[in-house]
Formats: sequence, structure tokens, C-alpha cells
Amino acid sequence: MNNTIGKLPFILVSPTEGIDPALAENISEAVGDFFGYPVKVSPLLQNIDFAFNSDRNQYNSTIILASLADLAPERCLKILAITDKDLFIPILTHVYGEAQLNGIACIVSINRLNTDLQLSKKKVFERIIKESIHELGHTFNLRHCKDHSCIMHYCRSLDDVDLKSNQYCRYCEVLLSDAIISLSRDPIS
Amino acid sequence: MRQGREGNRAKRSEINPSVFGNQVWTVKSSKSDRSKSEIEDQQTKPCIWMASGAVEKKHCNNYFSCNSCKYDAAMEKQVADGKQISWQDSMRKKESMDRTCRHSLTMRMVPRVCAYNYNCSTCDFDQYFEDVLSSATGHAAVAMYNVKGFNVPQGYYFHNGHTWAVIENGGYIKVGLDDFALKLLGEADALDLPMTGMELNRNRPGWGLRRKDNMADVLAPVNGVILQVNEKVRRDPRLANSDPYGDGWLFSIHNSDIKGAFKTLMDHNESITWTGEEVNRLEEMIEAVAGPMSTDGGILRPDIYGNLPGLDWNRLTRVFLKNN
Repeated sequence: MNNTIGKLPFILVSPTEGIDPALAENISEAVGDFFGYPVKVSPLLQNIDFAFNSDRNQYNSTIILASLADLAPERCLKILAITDKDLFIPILTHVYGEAQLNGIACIVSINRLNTDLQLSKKKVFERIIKESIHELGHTFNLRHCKDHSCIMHYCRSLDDVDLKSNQYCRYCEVLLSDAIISLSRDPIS
Repeated sequence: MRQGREGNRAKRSEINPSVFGNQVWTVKSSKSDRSKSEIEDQQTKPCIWMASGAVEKKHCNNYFSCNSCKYDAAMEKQVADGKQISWQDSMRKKESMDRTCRHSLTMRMVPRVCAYNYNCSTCDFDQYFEDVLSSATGHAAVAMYNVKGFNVPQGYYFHNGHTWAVIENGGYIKVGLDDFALKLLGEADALDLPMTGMELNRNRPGWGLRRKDNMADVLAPVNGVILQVNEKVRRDPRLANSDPYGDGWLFSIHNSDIKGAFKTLMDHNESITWTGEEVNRLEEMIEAVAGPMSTDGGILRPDIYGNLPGLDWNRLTRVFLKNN
């Protein structure tokens, strides 16, 4: 896929160290199929120790997003970082992911998405994709949705994640379409 | 209730042992009471007159508060007139190991054998229990419901100023701050709790808390007179944060009309719905300060005010504690 991108705007999937390259490839395929954009896999930011908080033994996702945005390559539309580290923002116990609202960067942690050893790989992958599409949705300026089945619904727990669908509701779908059309009229520099 | 040596220590739900009469006493709540502690359930518990066998059938509908029970007073009169066997005499007919203490019969503690032949007025333990142990008894495990990251126990009643009240066997009310308020405002530097004997009026400021320069009045959930204040939590307010519905209770109250007092509070289902709505309201306030949330996963950490300094203390307490 990398060779076919050419000069088109693309979504960049950026695995940090510790992420299986095969998983990153699978995520890129799913994201590409979903959004219809070319997707490139490249480790933009391998080490995120700079965001480590020793008091919480977790990584501050907001700090990582700022660094990712600074590193965005030319024609990169959105960056989706994938990490196996446990992420947080100050007011929450943890996050599965965070995004820059209407920005360029988002990150998803697989750390808490696979806490049950009995869980099938397929189920874990479903969760990762849901979180990836959710966070990318935020970068397209989508807010949390009150519809429990919408992928933009705010989930506090894995049960919530499993309950919601892997699709946007019709309202969020319209908002996403508008955002994509707007981006095509105002191409990235 | 158990009697034993220092080494024979209590479980979590028991309070620290007290030394009394060269013996070590520990108390824990009856296992059956908190798990079914709705008012309706209390009405199905056997009255001491029934439990003793003095009458065939009578269930307590007065929260085992015999001193304020009209039925008990009427039965005592029957006994005095020689028309009725007393519950004490009925118990005295039982085998020694079946002679259960009256505090066990009224479900205020786990089974304990009476060693004083039901002469409660001369029983040193009875006096000690009433004066010291009963209101200090921690709660047995309760069914806890998590509402968007905040605990709401079954059997507790809530006031919309984020206080709770629960009826204890013996007919008094325990009061505390709820998990939401404690997680929202964080650990207080001091709790300004009322004095014993003070009268509380529902919906009026009854006590307060202080965190650095910030103060907050807290509304009383029910009317009543303060029976006892939890000195442990007064000395260490963090106890309220760590166990808001157990050892973190704030004080106990006497109200002669418990049923009437609790009609104004939210029952379990109402409390669950209301807490969820309060979390939504809080999240809106957080977004107004920090911008729209663009995360997924996780729940609000304790000390929300401390973790997001942009939140205004006065507004938080006005909105959630209703202390206009």
C-alpha cells in the first residue's frame, strides 16, 4: 500500500516499540477500509518514555499527542499511534485512547484492551479497531455521542466498549462526511 | 459479638477490640441486616417477643428500637398484669447455649450467649454495648453498585446534597457524605462536625468541611438530634474518603419518626438514577473548563477538584452540595 500512496493525503499508523508489526499492518488495513484513505505504517515515535509519570506509573497521552503532531510528515492527514503502554490524563484513572479534537494526532493503547487471557485474538482486535476508529473520529472533530451503540459513545469500561457497535450512528456519519468533504476542499499543506 | 484474646482479631467488618472487665470485646454487624436493609425488609424481621417464643408471630416494624415501640410497651403491660409471659422468661426456659443475648435477637450483632440470665439492667456488657460499641459498629458487606465510577450502596438513602442516611437496628440513623462528593472535593483538611445533642434541620446546613482556604456547608439530610459523632473521622477526615459508607460515617441521629424522615430521601433506584445524572452534570462542568473530552476509557479519579484546578470550588459546592 505504501507504494500506491503517491502524493495523496494519507493516514499514518505509527506503532511504538513493543507493538507487533503484523498488528500494525492489520490495523492499517482496517482503518483504510473504514475511512477510504490510503494508510501508511511507519514508526514515527518509537519511544514514549518522555511521557512517563512515575507517580502514576502510566504515560501521559496528551504529551505524546503534542510530540506526534510536531513530527507529522508531509501530506499526512491523521496520525494514529498504537502503544502497549498504559495511558492516562490527569482527571481519569486511565484512557484507552486520546485524540486531538479536530487535530492531527491520536493514540490508542492496547494495554487494557486485552486483560482477559481467555479472550480470543479476534475479540481483542475488534476492541483495538473500535478504539482506533473512535479516536480518529475525534480528529475529524466528532464529539462523544449519547447513542450507546455509536462508536463515538464514551466508554468507561471494556463492557461498554464491547456493547457499542463498530459503526458511527447516522448523525455522526453525517458529521464525519462533512468533515471529510471540508478537508478535501481545504487540502492539507 | 465475640469475646476473645487480643490475638483472636476481628475481620474487616469488626471494629477494633475494646478491653473491658479484663476481657477483650469485638463487635461486628449481623450479616443479615445490611444485605437486606431496605425498610420493607426490616419489617419482616422477627420481633424479640417472637424470637424468644413468647408470642407466635410478630415482626418488627420499628427498626428494633424497643424503647420507642408501642407494641413492646403494650406487651410489658400485659406481662405486668400477669397475662403474658415476658420475652426474658421465655428465653430463660431455653437450654443455656440457646439463650441468645437480646442484642443478637434484635440483629444488632452476631449471635452471643447471655451470661446474665437476662438481667440486662445489671449486665455490664449491655451498658457497654449501648454506650460504646453499638454505634461504632462497622457495616457488614453491602451490595455496592458502581454508577459511572461512583459507588452507591444498596439500603442507603440519599439526599440531593450528596449525603446519605441509613437506618440502624436499634432505631437510630447514621449519616455520611457520599462517594461522589468525597471524590469530587477530595480529602478535607478538617470536618466541622456538629456536637452531640445538637439539633439538625433537614435541608439546612448541618456541618461543614474545609480544604485549605475553601469551605463548604453540607445540608442535613433529615431532622434529628445528634447522638454520637464519629471521632475517628473527625480526627482523620481521610477515613471518609477511604470508606464513605462504612467506617467513614460522620454521626448518628435520633429521630422519633424515622419512616417520615426517610420518605423525603431517595431510595436505592432513585439514588442510582440521580447519581448517574450528577455524573453527567459534572462531566459537562469539566468539559466547560477543560474543553470537550476526546478520550475513551477510564473513570474520574478521586480528588477531581484537585486534579482539575480550573474547577471553581464555590460553584462545585453550590451545584452539588446545594449550599446556596
